[in-house]
Amino acid sequence: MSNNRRDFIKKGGSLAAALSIGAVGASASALKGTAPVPAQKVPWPVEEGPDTPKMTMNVGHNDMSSKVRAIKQFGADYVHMDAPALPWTQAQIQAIVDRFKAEGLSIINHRIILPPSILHNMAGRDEDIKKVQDAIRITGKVGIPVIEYNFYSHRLREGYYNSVGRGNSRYLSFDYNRKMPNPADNNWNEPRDRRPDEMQFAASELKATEAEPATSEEQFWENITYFLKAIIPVAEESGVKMALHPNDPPPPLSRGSAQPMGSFAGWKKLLAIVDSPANGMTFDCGVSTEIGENAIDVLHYMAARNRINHMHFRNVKVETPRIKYTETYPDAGQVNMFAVMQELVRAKYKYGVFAEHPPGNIIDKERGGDFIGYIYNQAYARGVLQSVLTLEQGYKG
Amino acid sequence: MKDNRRDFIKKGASLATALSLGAVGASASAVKPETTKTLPAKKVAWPVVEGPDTPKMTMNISPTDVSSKLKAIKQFGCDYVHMSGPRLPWTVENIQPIVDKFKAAELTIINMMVGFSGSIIHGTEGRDAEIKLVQDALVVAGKVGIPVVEYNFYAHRLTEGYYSVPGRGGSSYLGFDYNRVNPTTGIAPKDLPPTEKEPAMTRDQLWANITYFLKAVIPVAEKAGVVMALHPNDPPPPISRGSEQIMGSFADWKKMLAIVDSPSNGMTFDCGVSTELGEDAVEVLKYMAARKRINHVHYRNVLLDTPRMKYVEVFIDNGQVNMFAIMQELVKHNYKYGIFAEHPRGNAIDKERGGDFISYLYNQAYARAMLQACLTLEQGYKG
Repeated sequence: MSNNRRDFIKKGGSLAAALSIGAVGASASALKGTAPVPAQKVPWPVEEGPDTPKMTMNVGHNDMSSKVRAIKQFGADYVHMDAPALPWTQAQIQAIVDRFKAEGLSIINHRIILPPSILHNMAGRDEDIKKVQDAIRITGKVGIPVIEYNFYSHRLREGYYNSVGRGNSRYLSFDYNRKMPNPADNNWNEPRDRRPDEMQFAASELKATEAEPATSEEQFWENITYFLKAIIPVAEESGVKMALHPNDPPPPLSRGSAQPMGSFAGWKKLLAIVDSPANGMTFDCGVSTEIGENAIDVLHYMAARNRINHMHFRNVKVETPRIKYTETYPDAGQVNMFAVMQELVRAKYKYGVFAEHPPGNIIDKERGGDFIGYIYNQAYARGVLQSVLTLEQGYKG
Repeated sequence: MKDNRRDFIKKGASLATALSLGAVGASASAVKPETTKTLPAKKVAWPVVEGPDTPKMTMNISPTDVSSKLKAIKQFGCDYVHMSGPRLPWTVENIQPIVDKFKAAELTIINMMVGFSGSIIHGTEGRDAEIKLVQDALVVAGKVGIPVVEYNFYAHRLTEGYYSVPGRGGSSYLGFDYNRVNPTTGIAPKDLPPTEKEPAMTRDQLWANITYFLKAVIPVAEKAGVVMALHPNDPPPPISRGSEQIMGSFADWKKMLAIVDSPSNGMTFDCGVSTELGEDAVEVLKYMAARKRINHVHYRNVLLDTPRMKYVEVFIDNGQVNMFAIMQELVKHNYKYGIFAEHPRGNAIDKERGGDFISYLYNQAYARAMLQACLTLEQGYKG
């Protein structure tokens, strides 16, 4: 990496002009410090540019609250969001892009929701794939670089429960096999995802539903292969990258459906279906750890192939891989967050870093929502990013 | 430092018992699932070990605060708090309940600021009686286990030079300009006169008075097992309402530390103020740390225009101070007292909610990340 240092700094100098996905303003300011610069060798605020990770926060595409302004204030120049339901018009998406641009924010990723026809090979699949292709073309035209998507038959949120965290904050735990004699005591995080008669069951015991039928591993691979072969060429043409979010939670079976996106082997297989940087994933250091992998190894594998198109920066403590773990504050889990960020920077990862899944805290409880938790995670991630950039740009203490 | 790595980790292992100034719980949790053998960190296990000889994140709170802030501080990764102490006199009877109240919330008081009357600064009537109260307060701090007592020594704090500057995303930054004519009063801060309550002091007078004070209190602090932290003059222009400032230059800080040669005679190292003076904050840190005189830290950022005269306090991540370098040096020097990520910027959420806690939270999280990055490296991680 040290060989690239000069190159990096040179690029940084013209970053505003070179950056096609939006302005990097977190480190910019109308105010400029003058000499003497107290930093040894690396001037601060440390340079960010086209080839450095971008802090991003999640926001509703129609959110008009103070949150939009706060995101910018708290050091994120990028946002990502759930896109409106398909189909779109270009004018509709352009208006969203422009609205955030007016706040100094660039959309780095928007998520689309795939209909059951695509996930389960049901009637109307080709028409729905056509809608996704059109959406990818619009995304390219309005300059959004990444589309994120899920490919779950069923997301097994029924295994989540609330546990007691630091200072009595609320942690999110997952246990595939957890059940208690008294359903009222189970403290499920998402009780609404269960029918009343399912409250006493462990997540592993839950059956498929009509809306989300059981999908075998073979069916999954058939369906996702069909989908990727149809859309990745369009993404390539449009200059758009796709990011598949891994299965989270990642147990092997989810209401009877196989979860190939809950293992590293499955992720590798996915990336091989179409050999293109447009066929990428959301690298999640939390999920990677939940499945018992070394998150750094997963990162190296994906980054070496240019397949990390979005990133979830969060921490976890694992008891049994894929089966039992607790999501923690970014500073209180087993993932070496410094190592993860350092490898992202070294790989010249240039898309979004989203510091997600904050624990429940007392300020949000009073205020409503969860934004304060996200601010903590964002500030933490920004601190890690700047520590790594300082080192990678040559600082030696 | 590398030589100390094993020693460090060894110490870390027994940190709970060894730590006299309180529990280190930021990385601990009521939920402790066993981690399995598939540890993702190379060499350094996370959450990274914190111990008696690592910096402690601290946040400011009032001794009487009973709001949710108390719980939030703990939740957001701080095991320590600091505060302005009650008015003198301090007794074990009025300080111990404060210690206990925070202890019940698993928070340890790492620093209590003491305020004293102008007689000490101005060398006027009642000085010796007031010094006696400070001496007694130090003894009390030692008895209740508060390791640091912070204080100021201003003739006048020139807050009149501050003004609001538009910042990132419509936030507000804090500017200081010694020569800027205030649009309301028509007077520049440099031209403000002394007041009756805060008469003009010369350097000679202030040096005489701080010397008298330090010679009286430092031996008591040493005996009580307490270290003192003098906060530098902030803002630091040479003259403040007619009074010369003796804590607004690095040369003067060195002079102050030499008055009594003891680790109890220390300072609050402020990387922001150090930079405002035109100094390299890392050099200031190294000087003070080598002499074991950093007894509290203010961790904040700034963009400097003219040393001592004109600068803007900005968000912690967009000023000219290399915050990584500062944290790394603190860790390398085994700095063990509080780090307060202070002077946060106004923002939309605090504006709605009232107060300024969310901005402090941003700084705290950022500083905690820097701390963990530096600890990870110091404990031997090589990517």
